[in-house]
Amino acid sequence: MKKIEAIIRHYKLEDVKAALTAVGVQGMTVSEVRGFGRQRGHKETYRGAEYTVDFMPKVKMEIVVAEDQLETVVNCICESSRTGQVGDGKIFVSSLEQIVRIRTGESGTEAI
Amino acid sequence: MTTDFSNAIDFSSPQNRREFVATKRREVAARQASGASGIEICNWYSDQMDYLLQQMMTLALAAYDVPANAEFALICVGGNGRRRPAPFSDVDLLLVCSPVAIERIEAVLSAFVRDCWDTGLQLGHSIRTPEDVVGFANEDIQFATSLVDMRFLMGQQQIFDQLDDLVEKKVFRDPVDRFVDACVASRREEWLARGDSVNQLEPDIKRSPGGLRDLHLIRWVTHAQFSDSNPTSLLEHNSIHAQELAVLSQADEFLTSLRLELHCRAGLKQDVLTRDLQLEIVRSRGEAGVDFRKAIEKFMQEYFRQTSRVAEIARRVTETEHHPSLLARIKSVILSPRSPKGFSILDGVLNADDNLVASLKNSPERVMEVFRTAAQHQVALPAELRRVIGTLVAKLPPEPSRKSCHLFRGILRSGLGLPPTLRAIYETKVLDWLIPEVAEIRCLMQFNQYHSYTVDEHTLKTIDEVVAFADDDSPVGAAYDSVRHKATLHAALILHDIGKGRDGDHSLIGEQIAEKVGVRLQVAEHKKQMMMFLVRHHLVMPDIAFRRDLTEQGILTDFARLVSAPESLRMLYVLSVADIKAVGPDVWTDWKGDLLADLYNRTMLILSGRPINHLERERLQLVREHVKANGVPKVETNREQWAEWVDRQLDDLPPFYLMMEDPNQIAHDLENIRQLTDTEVRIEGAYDDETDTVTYHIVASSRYEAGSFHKITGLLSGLRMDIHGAQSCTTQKGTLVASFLVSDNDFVGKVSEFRIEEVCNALSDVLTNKTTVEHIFRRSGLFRMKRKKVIQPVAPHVSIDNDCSEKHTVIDVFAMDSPGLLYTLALVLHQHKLSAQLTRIATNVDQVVDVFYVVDEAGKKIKDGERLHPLWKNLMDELQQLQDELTKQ
Repeated sequence: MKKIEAIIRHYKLEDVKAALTAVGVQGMTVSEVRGFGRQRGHKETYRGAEYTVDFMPKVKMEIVVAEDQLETVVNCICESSRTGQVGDGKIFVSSLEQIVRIRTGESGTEAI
Repeated sequence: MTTDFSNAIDFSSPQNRREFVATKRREVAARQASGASGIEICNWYSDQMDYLLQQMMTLALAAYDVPANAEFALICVGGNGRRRPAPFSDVDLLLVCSPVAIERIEAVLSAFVRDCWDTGLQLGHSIRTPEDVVGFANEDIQFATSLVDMRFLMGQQQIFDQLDDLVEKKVFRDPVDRFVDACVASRREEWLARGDSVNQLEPDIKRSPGGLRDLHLIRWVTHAQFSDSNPTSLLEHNSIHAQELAVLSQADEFLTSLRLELHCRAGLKQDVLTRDLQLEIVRSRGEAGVDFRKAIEKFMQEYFRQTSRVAEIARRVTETEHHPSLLARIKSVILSPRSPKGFSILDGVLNADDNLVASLKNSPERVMEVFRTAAQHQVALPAELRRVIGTLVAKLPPEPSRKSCHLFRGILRSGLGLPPTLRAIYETKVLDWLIPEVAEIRCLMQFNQYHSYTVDEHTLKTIDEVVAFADDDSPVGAAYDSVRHKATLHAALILHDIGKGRDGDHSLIGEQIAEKVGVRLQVAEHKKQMMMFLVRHHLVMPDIAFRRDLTEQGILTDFARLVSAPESLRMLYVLSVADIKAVGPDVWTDWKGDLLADLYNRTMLILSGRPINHLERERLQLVREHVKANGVPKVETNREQWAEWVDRQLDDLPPFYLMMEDPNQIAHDLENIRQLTDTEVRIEGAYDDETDTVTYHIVASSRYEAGSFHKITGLLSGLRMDIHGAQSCTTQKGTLVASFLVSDNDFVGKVSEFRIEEVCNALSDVLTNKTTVEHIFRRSGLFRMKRKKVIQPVAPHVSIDNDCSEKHTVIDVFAMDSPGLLYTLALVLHQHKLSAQLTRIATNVDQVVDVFYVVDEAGKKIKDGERLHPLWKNLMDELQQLQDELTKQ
């Protein structure tokens, strides 16, 4: 089982959500976050007035999938969230030891 | 109801005790399902628990060889004392004994407590001496209130009686007001922590406003006042009416029964009426049918009906008993603003004299005056006055009079006094008289996980939120401060969700209702249109801010076209923030705030051509410091005198120019202004190789200012240049300061110095009237210029606004870009004898958004409708003609 954390542009959320639903992802957690990577925030210059924005608004999606779904889901996020510009975000994948559905006590892939 | 304990059970076995409790809980569920009275079931269950506790204590005493009448008293307190435990409630007990006896029975008490835990009972207990009880009760109001309903269970009755006397004298009556004030303050804190509203979509039936705790509050206050916690005492002392007593009694049964059901269904201490449980309950009653939403709505409206009446009575009873101190009354009389005739303001409460109250019956206007006075003076209306007004609503005439409407608009204009007054208008149902559609959203449920309150409560909370923006040092605070038509904004907030609960898009339905309301309340046409616009588009801004790329110019241009004017943008922004903040706790985040502010800032820049106000002060200070530090006078002069001169000039120059221009350029322009003679024009051009554009900076004497804008645009267009941006302003003395950003169609790559000089000379000639712009414009090869092919034409749009600037009429023009467009617009303005003092031109691909700040010949705004309409029509006709030419190609 894998946990996918994707940091994407906030306005790409609807597109990514729709694409993930289309490939069969049933659940995800979404949170409002801020951050910067190589984009390092942007600096807006308007006629001599500079406003530096250090942290850009992003959304973080957390999705848990079985290993055989991993590639499909990662590709799906990449394709649906890509604009080609700096600041498109990143995807982090990690292994999970266990998952338990609290209501039923089911565990492992049954609980995804 | 009888209690049968005939079947002997061995209570020394934890398993038997757990089974005993489980059996009784099942029986509670069965009785509840059969429709028995909730209060009677609680009493029955209380007897069962009493029996169990007595058995366990007897066993513990026997185990340690302590007689049953040892020096202690086992006392039930709180809900247990009232004989109202729900199946999974905590078992609240107090063990009282003397300091000497405590050592003898310590082991017994330990065993008893352990056995309770082993039985699965959630014990809330304390072991104290009588003096400790009093001491702790005087420190902790929650403990003190649990003693109001204490009940002897076991041990020595005498110890209990002595404690009862002691608590009565030293806690409840030492003095009475102290205890009452502490009870009320504690409950008010709980109200606030629970959203301060009855109409929550997932209420806690015990602690939310109007819940069981309010019934308890009434009991506590009654007990302190009359030594009897039964609310009947309130009736006997004329604190409530017989009908209200019946309401309390009915609500007590309703809420107690509902709590039992929640505990039984959830199998745990469940006091929150969640959405899932609402559905489960209506289904179990066979009421869900096909439309479960309607069934839930009906069920919850009954809940809100019961709890809102409890909350109202609780608030009134606790208010009635509040007597301001003599000092407070004296201070109030001395320091209060002068009260209007018929009113007196005492300790933050507006009181009406008997004559005025009597006059309310025949005059809706007097009713509205009461509310307006409360709003103006930011004072509360006493409960009795609210009740009297409430009884009059049914007799009000079908339509509010002109004066009533005027008074209501006055209330909407008020600041901090608006939220409590509007609530009073709502609670008395006077709001339903003013806006009949409000009745449709009373206690209206919202079936989503986003909202925490019913539609009516959410609506009232938006008003709480918006008023709090005043003096808030944030983008939304600055925007709210700048809104000129606050009454219209507040009215739009009241109406923004009025279309909910009907079939169709609630924003569109709301717009239609807003139109009807505007007519009913005799709102001026342009304000009615604004109200309708805000209601219709109240979801647009969050939708764009949270779901769209705000760096995409097309999205911004479309949004700017929709809102058309800075005032509507400000109002929509403030409305959007208030709307989100009023959804529920924790919904508003800085993340959302930043995105909305970003959209607001970017759109404001398009519409008004200037950054928003809240940055202005800091920016102007920065410019002032920068110019003084870096500007070097070219003419030898005293530095101090020069600095003073700079200050005067900066005071004269419009903030627009100071906000937008580079401080180095401002310093340079100032030096040019300083050296400028009465007959002179100074023009400089600079090529920028990054953008392949040339910027022409122009400083001209006031004698050449008239018509300068159309001359410059005409000349530049005539010389085959695309104007991408323009700023033009005049100092208070009339000196023209302008800059034009252009690309030269005669050059590919670097524009030569020669060409720049040629253009500078031509500009100078046209400004000093050596040649006419019409001559150059007609002679030019405009017809030879390559016109862009229009794929998707967008209809031109012109908006004229007299609200967003103090001194100027602001004209926003949205149109497809075409050669000579700016000159055409400038010429129309010139023909209408208007002077464009500030302008901002922005081009996005094939669309332009031009903003003109204009004044008439007298330097004033154009307020005369007979001038405005022909101007608008003329601009639209010219734009349409240009667009027709573009689409013909």
